[in-house]
Parts: sequence; C-alpha cells; structure tokens
Amino acid sequence: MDNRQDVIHKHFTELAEQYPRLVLIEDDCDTWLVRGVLEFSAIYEGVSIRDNFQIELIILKDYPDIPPIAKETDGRIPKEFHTNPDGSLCLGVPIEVRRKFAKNPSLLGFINEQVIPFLYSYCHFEQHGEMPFGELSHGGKGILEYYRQLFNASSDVIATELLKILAENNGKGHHECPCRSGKRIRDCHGGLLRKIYSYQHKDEFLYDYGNCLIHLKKAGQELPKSLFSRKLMNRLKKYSQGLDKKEKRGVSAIRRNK
Amino acid sequence: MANEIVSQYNKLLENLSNELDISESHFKQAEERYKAIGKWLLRDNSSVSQYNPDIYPQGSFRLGTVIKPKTEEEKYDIDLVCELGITKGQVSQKQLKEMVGEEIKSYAKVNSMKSAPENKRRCWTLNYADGVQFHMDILPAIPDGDSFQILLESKGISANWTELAIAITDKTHPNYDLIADDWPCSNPKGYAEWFKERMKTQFDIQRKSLAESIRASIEDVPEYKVKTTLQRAVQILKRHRDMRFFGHQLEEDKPISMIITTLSAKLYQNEGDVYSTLKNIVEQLHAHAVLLSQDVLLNESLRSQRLIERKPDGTWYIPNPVNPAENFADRWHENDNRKARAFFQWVVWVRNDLIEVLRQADMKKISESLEHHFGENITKKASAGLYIVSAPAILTHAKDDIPNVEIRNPSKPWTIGG
Repeated sequence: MDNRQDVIHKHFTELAEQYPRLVLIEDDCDTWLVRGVLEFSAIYEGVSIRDNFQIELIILKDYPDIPPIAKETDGRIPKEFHTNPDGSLCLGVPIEVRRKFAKNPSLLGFINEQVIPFLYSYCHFEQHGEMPFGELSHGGKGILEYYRQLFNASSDVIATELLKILAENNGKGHHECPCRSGKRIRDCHGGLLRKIYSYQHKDEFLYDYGNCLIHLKKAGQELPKSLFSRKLMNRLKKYSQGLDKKEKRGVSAIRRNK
Repeated sequence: MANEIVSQYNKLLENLSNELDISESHFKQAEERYKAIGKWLLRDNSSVSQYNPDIYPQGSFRLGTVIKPKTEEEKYDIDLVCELGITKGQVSQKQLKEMVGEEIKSYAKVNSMKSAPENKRRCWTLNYADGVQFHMDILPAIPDGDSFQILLESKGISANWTELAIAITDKTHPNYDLIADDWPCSNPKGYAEWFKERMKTQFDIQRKSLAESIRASIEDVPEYKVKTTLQRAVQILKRHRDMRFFGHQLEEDKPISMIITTLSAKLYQNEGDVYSTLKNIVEQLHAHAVLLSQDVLLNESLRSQRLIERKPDGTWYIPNPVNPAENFADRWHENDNRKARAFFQWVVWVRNDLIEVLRQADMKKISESLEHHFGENITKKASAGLYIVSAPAILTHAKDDIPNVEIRNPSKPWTIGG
C-alpha cells in the first residue's frame, strides 16, 4: 500500500507543478481526491481557449491501473452535457478513456490529454454552440461508432463480430477474420485485438458488446445468430445482475460508480 | 545563474543557425554555377546577348536566410532571375520564356546535364547531376519599374524600391502568348533591399566586428559572410516549421517562408541576440491569434503595426512590403481558415519549443528538448561544450503564467444510456 501512496504523491507533485491551485486529499484508506481550480490554456488547430474550472478527481484503489474519475464541481457544466448519472464527466467511451490513460498513466497525463480537451470542448460549445472534435451518439450506438472506427470495419455487424472476440476472449487466431478480408484473424485484426484486450477486463468488453447488441436490435438491424451464443448470453445476464452488487473486483470503477 | 543560462542558450541558437547554413563550398558552388549561366547567356553567338542578360539570385539565397535541406537526399532550391533588357511591346510572355528557355536548354546540353530543363509555370528548372545538392529555378523577366509604379498608384498605394520591379511570365496567364501590357509583376530586388534596411543597424555592427576580428577593412568583408540576429532567427523559424509540420495533418497548410520572413523582418527591433529576437517576434505574433475569432478586434497598438489584418468579410491580408497589391495570405480564409489556424498553431509551437523551453533547469535538458524539433545530430553539434547546470532560467512564474496544452487526437465525448 505504501507503494501506491508513493505513486500517488509523485503523480500529484508533478501535477501541482503545472496546476498549483489543486490539492490532494486522502479520503479514506483506498480513495484519494484531487480538488481545486484547474486553470488552463489549450490550443487545438490554432484556436486557443483559456479558462478555469472547479474540478475533482477521484483516485480509486486500482489506480494507476485504471484512470481517475473526473467531476466538475461548480455546476457550470449542465447535466445534459456528456456527464454520467453520478455527475462525473464522460470523457469518451470507457475503452477510449482506458486506452489513453494506459499510454500515459499519470494524473498530469490524464488532466492534459483527457480532462482539458473535454473542458476545451465544453468552452467551445458554450461560445460557439458547436463541438470542436465532434461527439459520439449516446449509449450503445456511440460505443459501436467508436469500435467501428477503431476496427476500421465496413459495417456495424462486422464491428460487433470483432468485439465479440474480445468479449469471449477465446480468439482462435487461425479462424477467418470477421472483417471479410479472407485472411486469418492472426494475420488481420489479431494484433489490434490483442492490444485493445489489454486495456480493460473481458467483462467490460462484454458490457460494451451487450450495449451494441441492444442498440442494433432496437434499430431493427438483422443480426446473425452466431452473435447470440448461449454461453455469452448467460455471462451477460450474470454480469448485469452483478453490476448492481457493489465492489465486484476487477470491474471498471467508472461503471461501478454508475 | 539565470543570465548565464540565457547566454548559453543564445550561443546554442547561434550555433544552430550556423549548422543550418549552407556550407561555404555549396555556396561557392552555387555561385559559380549561376555565374557560368550568366557567361553562357553573354557569349558571342548567344541569341539573347544583345539584350544584356543579367542573372541574379532572389529569395532566401539573396536574403542570407537559406537553410540546408533536412536530409542529404533533398536539394537546395536556388531561385534566380534572368532579366533581359526588352520591353513588353517587343515580346509576349511566351516569347520571352522561350528565348530564355532555348539558351538554358543549350547550356544544359553543352554541359551534358542529365535531364533537359523543365518548363514550369513561371520558371525553368535546371536539374544538376547526382552529387550536386541543388537545382536552380530560373525566372525569365524584364524590367518593369515604370508600369509597376503606375499600377500601384492606380490602386492608391505606395511603396519603395518600385524602380527595381520586374515583369515575369506565367503560363496560365490569359495573355501569355499575346503582346500585352498586363504581365505579372514581382520585385525580388526591391524586397531584398527592404529586408536589408530592416536589419541595417545589426548588419553594420556585425560587419564591423567581423572586420575587426580578421583585421580587415569593412569593405573587405563580403556581405554574405555577415549574419544578423534576424537572419539567424528566420533560419531557425523556417527549420522549426519544416520539422514541426512534417507528417502533421496541417502540413500542406504550413506557413510559407515569405510570410515568416516578412513578419519577422517587420517585427525586428535590431535585437543583439537571437533569443530576444525570437521572443519579440513570437510574442507579437501570438497576440494576433485573437483574429481567428472574427468578432474580436486587435488593440490599437497591434492594429497600427498592420502586420496581419482581418477584413470584415473574413479574409486575411499580409501585404508584400514592396508590393502591397500582393497578399501573401490570400488563401488563409479557405477551408474554415485552415492556413490561418496552421499559422497560429505554429506560433504556439514556437513559443513552447523555443521560448518556454528556458524553464528547463539546465542546458542539457534544453538541448534534449531542442533535439525533438531540430533533429539529434544538428542539435548535438550546436550544443557541444555548452552544458552547465544551473537554476531554471526563468525563476519566477508570473501570476498569469499558466501551462499551454496542445490538444492532439482528442476523444469525442460520449454519454451513457440513450
């Protein structure tokens, strides 16, 4: 535990050098909070925005394996603007938030690469009524949009089939790749899937998968039977029941907080 | 201690610009080659010798702001003007282009050059054999001082050095093959005079000190050997631009050298060192970034400089100082101001990479950070012997001194449920 405390202290020191109006608070033995005014200046394609927000980062016990949760505490960002039910900021689809954080797992990295771009986006929206980097659809539709782009898949069904491999985690490299390239998985999407797999738990991929299916069904999309294997459906059922029980180990803190 | 770092950093920047310089041997080689072309045009049976052809460099080669190509494979562009004493009443643009072309072609043939000269939109390009690290763009031209002056007057603008203006040819011009008055115009000599005047104070100081160091008289120091802090700053800015935009999504819209050179020269205050020169240029340019949001006006002191202007219709205006009818920023408004955004993005990069970098605690760190932007080799050479460890050069953070975050590959926000 000492080790983790050292890591958090080190990460916080690095953060506070840049943003001196933030403080670190030990909430209880597992959770830490970073609170205060985040004053920043950010530029995207030549357009600078300078602003400040009252923020809070919640550092959960799995940190730095998982990213902190970010909140804006002054009530400036309305609930309808990309926030989760618990009031935390929805920085992107969870897998994207994880993926980015895994590349630079520190508080400063998280603030600079995810929180500030989000706040920039909000300021831009406030000033001009448009989102500078665009936005994803709500719920399963947005998740599917994200995976489809990530996999560079030519259809929603193909993206879902690739996601199924992650949810099952029994990828058979010699099978034909669902993307219809005619190649074997290992010679095609295999490398990308393996990389993505390391960013979140397979139950979380299952959750993403379930959300995509719900969206596709609602949209009236015809779906191949193979997407509804019994084993997967049973796991999905169990998982969604389990979501209600708190403190399920290994489950994403973001969703645990939901 | 802090001052010590600043002076070391200045030394590093100065070395860096020396490293970016064209080597003496390349310079001499290029000079010999274009003089050889000049001789060829003047030889006895030359078809143009009767028009007193004058061949002279223009652009960065003339301004002393030329930089080495990024790699050994890339070549220097040497821009030359080939001016003939003819009038618009005697030839069409096309005829002039071909008159010069014939001579350039026979020159290439006699010198058994690998390929024939290329007929480009405005110039002839002469490609030398392997092993020669440059090609020459030769711009056929005729004197045009008088009509240029009249043209500017008709537009109600005035400029200096109009007598040096030339008329040039353009294959896409509607009257390209007719005898006509409306040739495209240019004024490279006038621009060079303007540029020289902007840095005259430093130029004289540098030339004098160079003369003293070699115990020669001032006239004995050739002009090309003198380098002012402005020329050095422009070299550094140009290379920084090339490196920073390399592979970037805005690469095609990176600021052109003429804009960098013109704005730098306009802002130059004859500072004695490269760091102060860069700092002043960057700070002032950065203050113009507000022009991106059209409803914001520049404050009076910035507006009076007339450096970068934004018109009510959203277009941009950066005039050529010797030809205000020419707007270097004529395409800045296209694609949602993409070129303008690229420019101001670059200004922020310069500020972070070349000015804010002084926050680093020691020269080693500063030099490591420069390696990212100028390449390892060149930076290592430039920083040899400069490492000292000291307190950060900028010791106190000003109160409104907040970090600048550059957003790259931002995530699209998402919402749970739906």
